[in-house]
Amino acid sequence: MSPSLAQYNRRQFGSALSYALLIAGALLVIFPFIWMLLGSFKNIEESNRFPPTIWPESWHPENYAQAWNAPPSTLGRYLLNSTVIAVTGTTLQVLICTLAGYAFAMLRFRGREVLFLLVLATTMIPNEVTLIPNFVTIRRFPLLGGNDLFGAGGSGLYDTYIAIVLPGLAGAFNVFLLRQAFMTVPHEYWEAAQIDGCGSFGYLWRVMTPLTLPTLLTVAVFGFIGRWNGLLWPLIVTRSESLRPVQVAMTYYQTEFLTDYGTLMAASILVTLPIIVLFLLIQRQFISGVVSAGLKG
Amino acid sequence: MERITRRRFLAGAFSALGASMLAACGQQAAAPAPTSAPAATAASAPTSAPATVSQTGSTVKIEYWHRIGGDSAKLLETFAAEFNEQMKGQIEVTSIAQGNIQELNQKVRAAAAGGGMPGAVMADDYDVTQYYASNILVPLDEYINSPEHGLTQEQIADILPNQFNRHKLAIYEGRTMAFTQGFSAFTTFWNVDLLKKAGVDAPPASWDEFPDHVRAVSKANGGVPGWLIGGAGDRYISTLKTYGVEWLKEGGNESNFDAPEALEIMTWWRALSDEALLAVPQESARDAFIAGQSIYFMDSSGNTARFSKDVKFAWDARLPFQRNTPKPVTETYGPVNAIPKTSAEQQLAGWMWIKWLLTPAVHARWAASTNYFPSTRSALNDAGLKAYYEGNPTARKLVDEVAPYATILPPSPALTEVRGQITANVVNEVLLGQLSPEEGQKKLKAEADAAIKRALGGA
Repeated sequence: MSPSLAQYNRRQFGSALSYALLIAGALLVIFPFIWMLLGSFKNIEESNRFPPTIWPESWHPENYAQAWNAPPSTLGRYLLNSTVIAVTGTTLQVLICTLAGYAFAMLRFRGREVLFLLVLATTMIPNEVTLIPNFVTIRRFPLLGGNDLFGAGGSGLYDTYIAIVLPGLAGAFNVFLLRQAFMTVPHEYWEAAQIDGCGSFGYLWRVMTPLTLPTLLTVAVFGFIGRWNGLLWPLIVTRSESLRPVQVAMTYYQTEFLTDYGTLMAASILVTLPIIVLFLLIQRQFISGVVSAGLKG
Repeated sequence: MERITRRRFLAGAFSALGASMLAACGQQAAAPAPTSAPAATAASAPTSAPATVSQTGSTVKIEYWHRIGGDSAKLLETFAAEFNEQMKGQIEVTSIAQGNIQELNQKVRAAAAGGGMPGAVMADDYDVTQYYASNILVPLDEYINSPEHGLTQEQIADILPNQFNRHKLAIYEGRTMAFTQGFSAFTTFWNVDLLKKAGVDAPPASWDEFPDHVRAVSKANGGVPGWLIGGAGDRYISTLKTYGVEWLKEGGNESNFDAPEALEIMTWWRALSDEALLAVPQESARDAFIAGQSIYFMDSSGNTARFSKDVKFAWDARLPFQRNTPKPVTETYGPVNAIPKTSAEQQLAGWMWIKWLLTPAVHARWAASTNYFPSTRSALNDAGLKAYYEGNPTARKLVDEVAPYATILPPSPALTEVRGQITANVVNEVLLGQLSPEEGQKKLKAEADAAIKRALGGA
């Protein structure tokens, strides 16, 4: 065998091995989705069977209709609520964190480092600790929901979309992430922009945002997923089913002793679809943002 | 447009901040004192409209928070609609699902701090203890005994005594802090086919015979495990109860894990574990039983609903094995209802609602939907519940054989930690051979007592 042929064969073997490993990895990742998809067509008896079957013995597409109709006001209402909560919350979060990150990265003011440290320190406080104070803040929000200036007399922002969205809009981790991204942009760009008559907002919008787009999208995707998957906080600050997100609806498929996994899986497919579509749309920028920020899943 | 200067911006920002701080520091709207017993003249049927629920003449609107999912959650909404129809112009209840046990508990604690408590709330036993310690519940005795809105002697006699008195406890100074709404209990399930294959007709008479019994049945069935335990801490404490020993000594300041029975249980559990006949599996012990992979399964009586659908072999259920108990005992599970401190009107409306839920026809539908035992004897005469039990005869059998003996564990603010963490960890360490049963017992006693002391505000 000539050296070049041996080299070619080695390369081919290496390539085949890489593909085999990648395919195995992809199968491993995609298996839960395949399981969920196949499970969504099983009836209650088969879906609760142990040991479980992989391929449905009989197909029950009606699980999807049942999943749609099971929660009060149908699953559609909850999907709409989640969309409103996730889109509004994520948009406001990106806006606020961008402005804060830009201020910490670019503006010179007294106490900047101390203030930034204080912001970072808030990441050390567990969510469980802030739950009740946040609820109290929402209930006693002044001059809204029948409350007076001192937050008494009414229910404040309780049972509103704003109550669901408000906490976490200025997440310290996202401020940190964006500050780091803004700091990687060479200072000369700012000087050049100033010569061209650009102010801070113009520079942020025209120069910084395009240059740090992957990081911004990373913040947006994490924010969107977090809000889409949120359960406890929306449950605590709402009472009306007409405001509650999809994760609350998911509890309607479970009982204490028996869960209708077929319907639950069908609902899970419907609920996961928007996240998958979002990821497919911006996966390149998202991965680039994750890599540049050094994040791990 | 006028330009905003930095000074103006800062002034505005500080004003907004100040307003928010004022609001946050403002006095919480004080929860109105619980109402005194509503005075009236004659005992009323549970479904009749009260004469004076509203003091202003308007409809009293309350929320009912629960942790039920699926069809039973919808049934609660149906109940609320029916109740509202009967109480038209008087009371309007909105039934709201608030997630699972933990989520409901967090919501109640948040509402206790920030306002917006419901008129009635579903709670599990340890929730009631916690809420009582937080002073957010109304004692129910005045409502129960109210001539106008309370229960008649006949109605009281209809409720199983253990359930009627479930939360009438010494730690509540003898007051009743929660009202029953069906229940389940610690129950023993077994695979009849596996026993038959070993030539055994019935389970053993007591715990004493249990180890040798499972050895024999397992041997005849290729070494199938005797008992796969779902939740080591829960089952250990339940088993201790069926030895006639409660986990907490009287007075509530010290655990009972120094009792000889505690060591005895740990010793035979360890022996069976070493022989691969008893284990705490990572996967579901319930699923393993359904798959015929263990001889026994001991858990809530509520499992009969699933087993009657999914189990493909002959199975049966009974009261858990006993040891040294003068009369049979088992542990009560399932939620109760309580009334948080709100206004006099709302509290009364809350009471009317939770009382209505126990009317025979309503309660029977609830029992059939949830597979909880009915708390009243009269519910068993309901045609719908009778029909349900015809399809699930084991559940009916357990109503007679298990339900009357079910009582709750002695409540303590430390129970959740002692059962869910401390006991579970120690039992696992003993079963895995990391501790001897004697070491396990000592560690369990020490850690549980420390947790109780912490929970009671000690060092």
